[in-house]
This record gives sequence, structure tokens and C-alpha cells, in this order.
Amino acid sequence: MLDVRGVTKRFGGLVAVSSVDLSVSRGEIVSLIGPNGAGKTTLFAIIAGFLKPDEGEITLNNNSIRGLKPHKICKMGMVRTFQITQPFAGLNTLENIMVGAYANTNDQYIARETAERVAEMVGMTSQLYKPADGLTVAARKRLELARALATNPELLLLDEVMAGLNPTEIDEVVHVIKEICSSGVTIFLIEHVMKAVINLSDRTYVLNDGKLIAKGTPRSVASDPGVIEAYLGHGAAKTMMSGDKK
Amino acid sequence: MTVIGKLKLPKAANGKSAGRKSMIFLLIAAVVTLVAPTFITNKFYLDVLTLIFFTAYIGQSWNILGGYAGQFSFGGVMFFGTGAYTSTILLTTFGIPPIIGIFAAVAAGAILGLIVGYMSFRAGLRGSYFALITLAFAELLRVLANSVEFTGGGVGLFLTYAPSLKNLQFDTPTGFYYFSLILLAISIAVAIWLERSRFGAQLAAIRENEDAAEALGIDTLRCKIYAIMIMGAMGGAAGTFYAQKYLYLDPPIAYSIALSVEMLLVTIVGGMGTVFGPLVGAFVLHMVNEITRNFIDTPGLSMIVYGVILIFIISYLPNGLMGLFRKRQDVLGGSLETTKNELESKDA
Amino acid sequence: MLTAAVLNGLMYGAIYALVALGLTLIYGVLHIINFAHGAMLMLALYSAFFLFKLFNIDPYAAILIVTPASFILGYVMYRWGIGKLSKGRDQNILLITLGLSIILENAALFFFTGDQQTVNLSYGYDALDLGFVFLSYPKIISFFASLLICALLWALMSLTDLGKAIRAVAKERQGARLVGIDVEHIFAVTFGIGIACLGAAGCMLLPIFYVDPYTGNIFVVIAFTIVVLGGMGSIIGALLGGFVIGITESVGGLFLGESLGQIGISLIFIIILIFKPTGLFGSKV
Repeated sequence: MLDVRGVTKRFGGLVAVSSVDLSVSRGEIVSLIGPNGAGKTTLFAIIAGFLKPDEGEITLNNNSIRGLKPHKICKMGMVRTFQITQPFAGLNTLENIMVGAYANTNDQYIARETAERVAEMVGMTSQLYKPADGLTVAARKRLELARALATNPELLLLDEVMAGLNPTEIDEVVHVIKEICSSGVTIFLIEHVMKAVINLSDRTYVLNDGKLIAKGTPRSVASDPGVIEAYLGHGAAKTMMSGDKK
Repeated sequence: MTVIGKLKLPKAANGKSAGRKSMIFLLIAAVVTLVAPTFITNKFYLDVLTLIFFTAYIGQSWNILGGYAGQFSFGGVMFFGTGAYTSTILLTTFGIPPIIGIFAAVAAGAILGLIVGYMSFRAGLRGSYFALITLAFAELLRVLANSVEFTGGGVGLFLTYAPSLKNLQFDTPTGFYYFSLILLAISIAVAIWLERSRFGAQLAAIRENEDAAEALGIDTLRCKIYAIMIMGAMGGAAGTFYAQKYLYLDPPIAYSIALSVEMLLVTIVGGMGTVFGPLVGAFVLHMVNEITRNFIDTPGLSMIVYGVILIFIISYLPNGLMGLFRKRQDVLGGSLETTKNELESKDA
Repeated sequence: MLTAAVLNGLMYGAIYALVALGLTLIYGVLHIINFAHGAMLMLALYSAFFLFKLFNIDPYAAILIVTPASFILGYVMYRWGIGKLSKGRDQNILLITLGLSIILENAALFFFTGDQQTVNLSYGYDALDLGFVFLSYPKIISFFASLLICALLWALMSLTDLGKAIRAVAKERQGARLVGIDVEHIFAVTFGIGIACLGAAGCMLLPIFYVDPYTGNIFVVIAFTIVVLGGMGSIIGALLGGFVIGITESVGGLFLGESLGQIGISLIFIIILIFKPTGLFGSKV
């Protein structure tokens, strides 16, 4: 569904992303992990159209999306969320989600209904009329997710949607993501929270210093020596090894 | 919320029945303003109201781009001036009556909006840079109008006094009163439509966070251009109104920075991104004007007070006076929360 | 004729550069677009004017009074005014400085009336005869004085501790805080310096120009054009930009006439903003 080939991005002398190849197939949940500064968000930004790659090709359902503006890519079925949440601060939760819903309809009532449905799916029904800038971090993450979901995407790019959440909240979000996937949405996520990565992903890519250093199932990746080295000191490999997969 | 008789009103996205109260208020206000001239015997007051309506109308045009879409223009007068010149030149040079010329003025304003909007937004100008470039465009037009022949140059253009409907000239203040009232009504209708439509939601999204809006499928460039075209169209008609009322036009009048300031002032004071903000602001500012003039009748005093009010409102009441009536922003309520990328010019 | 226009433009350009320098400094360090810059120049012009009219102080001597006074005014304005009111939001600052310029312009109108005021210096019409052009003494003095002040400013920024602190704050606000620099104070100082530039520029401009409440508007566009041309935050850019704009205005007026000549500046502004918003020397927008 999503094909990334040989994507490279330089900022002046710094190579942020170097010749990355990856793909995401329909119905999968694929994760992208790697130490801080590895270039994960940059890669997402390139895929979603916020940055132009210096080299490489990106196709969505066999259509090239390289160089297209983000809103066009959204119309083609791929939507991203932001690592640092970007709510529409002056609007309430429902209105925020409606903006996403409006991507597919002109009608105020349909947009509203869609928004209400999506809110229920992510568990925000009780907060529909709260102003977005008054939400907790966890709620904002959920709002970010809901908004993107309301555009009815085929492929959802989630950028560290669990960052800053406590274990209970993480479990909830994992559950929500699984439901989203079973409703037919393909998911590609950047994550640091290893528990979620193992629980969710069918496949994992590991990025370090802009390069792909491993790919495969979360298990196989966790025992990859290169990956362990990249994460030296993070204890991630230990977490994976002790296997708390549910 | 319940249904009243046969009046079933859509639920606004703030959970309340879409201003059933405000619908009634609107109806009453409409009736009052329509019959006002028969009760107001002193024609001077009719003229005052006309001026207030006109200011509210042109303020609303700024509100569309500034309050709803969040792009602050400092050169709004350019649409006014261009519209005024368009209909006036069509009249004085080609004999086309203003009743038709006003549509040309509207078109001219919209086209100017398209040009300026396309150039500025395509270049990624936001925030202060956008404000400055609109100022520069207005200045440019002023100098041009001053230098070319067909605008009458520095001398300006005179219109002949010939009251008639086709000339959009009226021999009593009542005529202009209704003219301005119609313009105001149109502007209010536009704003109400905006608040309930998909386009309005898109503008609000752009205002609040342009990158997020883009990510959610909104063609931000196109939407911003539409918004400035609406502003331009409205401004154009305002120009024709002015020309027909005062029968004289020259570059300092047509492209005066004071009008650019006034349209943003009434909107900010009244409440950006609200339907009635500009009207409230226009009333208040006119009141201020009257009071200061009674106090000391020297030019400049009322503007000083305006400046103070502007600073006060920005600092302590960013949602304007309408903000006092709302606990929080309702649908697409105006907000001064700016995006992080306010001063960034281009995306990478 | 052309050389005369160019020289003339150069003379004015130095003063424009000084005006733009204040603006670019304020932007470069505080990231504030000071829309009241033109109005404050007008204030400086009036100050010099009244010092001359009431106390017979020569405008060039008045520099020694007006400049420090402007610095203090600027410092206070930022520290206890703009800094507090805007809560740091850029869009707010734009509108607040707009409000300020409205207040200043109309206060001038209210107190001083709308009449244009000029000063007549005893040596005002004496000129240096270069053969192909006459350069009036005031113009020459203003030119060199402006250059001197620009040089002093450069020295301040590059050679003194204060200058280093200012540059540190401009580059990295948080980092500067962490090494113990009082950032709010530096902001206020920088703003003060920016306004002080206006104080000096006003004194130098008065003998070769005029003042009325609307003078500010003229210089707002000029100053912003220079800053955008030279690059926001670049001192060299402001200097060179000042000369370019001064010459453009002069030559433009020569070829296109008084009225149309003014178009050059707005056009340059628009073109730069659209095609190269970082200007010639600016690093970031």
C-alpha cells in the first residue's frame, strides 16, 4: 500500500534520512522505532508531504505521492498525527474532530455525526464540548487520533501517540488502535513505548542515524545485535526479551 | 434542546440549540432597523447610523479574512479604493450607471483579492509579513492612482449629483440608510453562513493551526485565497457606496491607511471571528468619537482613544467585547491563539 | 543629473540605514516587528524641532540629548509596556505596536496640529560645490554622522560585553538565560538602542526634511523595505539596504517623477517578500 524507496533527506551538511526503503501493506500495523534523533519524525514528515525528499520515491496504492502537498495526500487516503499535538485550540473537541470529518463531506450534519461516532470510538464522548486547549495531554493525544480518524483514512501515520501517557492510558490507546485496525485502517506508527510496539506491530523497522538498521517482527528485531547496540543503555532489548506480550 | 412549534433549528456544535435566542434577536433587530427611518425624525441620526452600518460592513469584510481565517491584513483599504475607482471610472468615462458599476466594483475587488492573495499566500507569507505586504500593496495602489491619468491623478474624480436608483444616489439620508443597511445585512448573512459551513470550519482550522489543517485535507492556499476574495468583493462594493454618497474620490481618500486601521479596529474591539463583532465595534467606536468630540473638539483625540482601546483590548480582552458575552469561543469563535509557525515564511 | 541623484540618494540612504538599523536590531533580538518605528521617528523629529524652536539648540547638538532620552524611553516602553502587555505573542505585538503608532501619530496631531514644520539653520543653505552637484552642508553632516553612529553601533555589538550578551540572546534565548544573562533586561536594552537610533536619526533628518504627524507613515514602509531587503537582523544588510533604497528613491524620482518614483520602494518590498524573504543577508526569516 505504502512504498518508500531510497528516500534521502539532507539539511545542509546533515543527512537526516539516508536511502530508506520500507513498505506497509494493507491491514497491517507497522512500527518505526529507533533512538531519539534517528530521523523518524523527519521520515514521517517526508512521507506525509510536509518535507520534500532529496532523493527517492514514495507511492501510495501505486500512485506517486512524492512532492504532493499534505492535503492532497490526505485526500488520497493517508493522514498523519503530530508528535507534539496540534489541536485547534480555540475550538472544542467536537469541532476539532468535525474538521477532520469535513474532509469527506460538505454537510454540517454528516460531519457532526461522523465526529460523534469517531469520538465514541476513541472514548471522548464525555469531553465533546470541552475546549481543546483545556484537555489533558492524554486527551489531546486522543483528540489528535480522533481528528485523523475522522478523515476516514486508509493509512494512518501515528507519531508517538503514546508519549507522555501513563501505563493505564497506554493500554487504553493500544486497545483503541487495535479496534481501529480491525475496522479496516492500516496503521504505521512511530513509537518509543516498547510494550505497545510489541503488542501492536506485525512488523517493525528500526531507524538509527537516518538509516534502516533492521526490519522484521518485533521479536526478531529485538534480538538483532545492531539494534541492541543502537539502544545501548535504554534497556529496551531487556524489556522485549522478558516477553510481556499479552 | 426542544423544538419550538415548527421552528426546528440545527444544533450548533457547541451543544446548544443554534441561538434560538439569537434568531429571535436578529428578527427583532431586522424589524427595528427597517422601520427606524419613519421614527427617527432628525435626519442627522439617520446619517450617523448609516455611517455605523458602513463601518460595520467594511469591518466585517476584514473579519472574514482576519477574524475567521486568522490572516491579519493591514491594507484592506485597497479593495475599497479599487472598487470605488472602478465604478466611478465606469460612470464618468463610459457612462455606465453605478447600479451596474457596483457589480464591476465587486468583481474588481475580488480579482484584486485573488492577485494579492495568490502572490502573498503562495509565497507562504503569514502573520506580520502578510500584514506588511498588504500594507505595501495598498501603498502601491495609492501611488499608482496618484500618477495615472484615468484615475484623475492627484486631482481625483468628481461625480455629478443626480439622485436616482440607477445612480445609487439618494437625495435624502433615508436612501443611503437603506443602502448601507442592505450591505450590512449581506455581510451578516455571509458571516452566519460561514459559521455553519464547511468552508467556515476550514477557515477556523487554518486560523488555529495551519499545519494541522493541511494535514487533515484542507487546501489551505485555496481557502485563504477564497477568503481574501470575499473580503475584496465586499470591499469593492463599499467603495462604490462611498463614491455615490460623497461624490468625490482621490488617492488619499481611496487608499487611506486610516480606513485599513478602522476596519480592523472595529472588528477587534467588537470581537474577531464573530458575526456581530464588527457591528458592536462600530457602535462603540462611534460612541467614543462622539464623546471625545464633545469633550475637546480637536482632531486626533478620538484616534488617540482608539489606539488606547486597541491596546487595552489586545492585552486584556482578546476576544473583544463579544467575548464578554461568551464563556468561551463558540463555533469558530475568534481567538488570538497564534500558530507556532506565525513568522515562518516557507515550508521546507 | 544621474550622479547628483545617486549622491543625494546616498546621503539620505545613510539616515535611512540608521532608522532601519534600529528596526532590524529590535527584530533580530526580540523578534518583534515594531510597527511603531515610524511614529517614534516622528517623535524624535518633533523633539529635535522643539529643542531648536524653544531653546535654539542646533539639531546636530541635540543628538546628544535626544539619543539618550530615546534610549531611556525605549527601555521603559519595552520593560514595563510592550513586554508585559503582549505576553510574548507575535500577533499581539504587531497590533499593540500598531495601536501605539496610532496613539503617537494622533497625539502629535492633537498637540502640534497637522502643519508641516521645518527648521531653518543658519548654514542650512550653504553647500559644498563639487562641480557637478551642490551638496548642502546639513546633508553632508547628516551623512557622516549617520555613518559614525552605525560604526559605533557595530563596535558596541562586536567588541563590548553588552554586545556579546545581546548577540547571545538573539541566537539562543534559553541558553543565554542559563548562563545567567538577564534576558528581559537585554531585551529592554536592545529595544532602547533601537529607539536611540531613531532619536539620532530624527535629529539628523530634521534639517534636510520636515516633520508632521504623518511623517512616520512614510518611513515605516521605507524602514521595513530596507530591513527586508537587507535581511532581518543583519546590521550590514540594514546599512547596504539603506543605501540601495536611498539611491532607488532618488533615481526613481529622477526618472519617474516625484509621484511615481515612490512606487519603487513598495515594489521592492513586495518583490523581496515574495521571492527572497530572507533578504540579501538574513539567515532566517
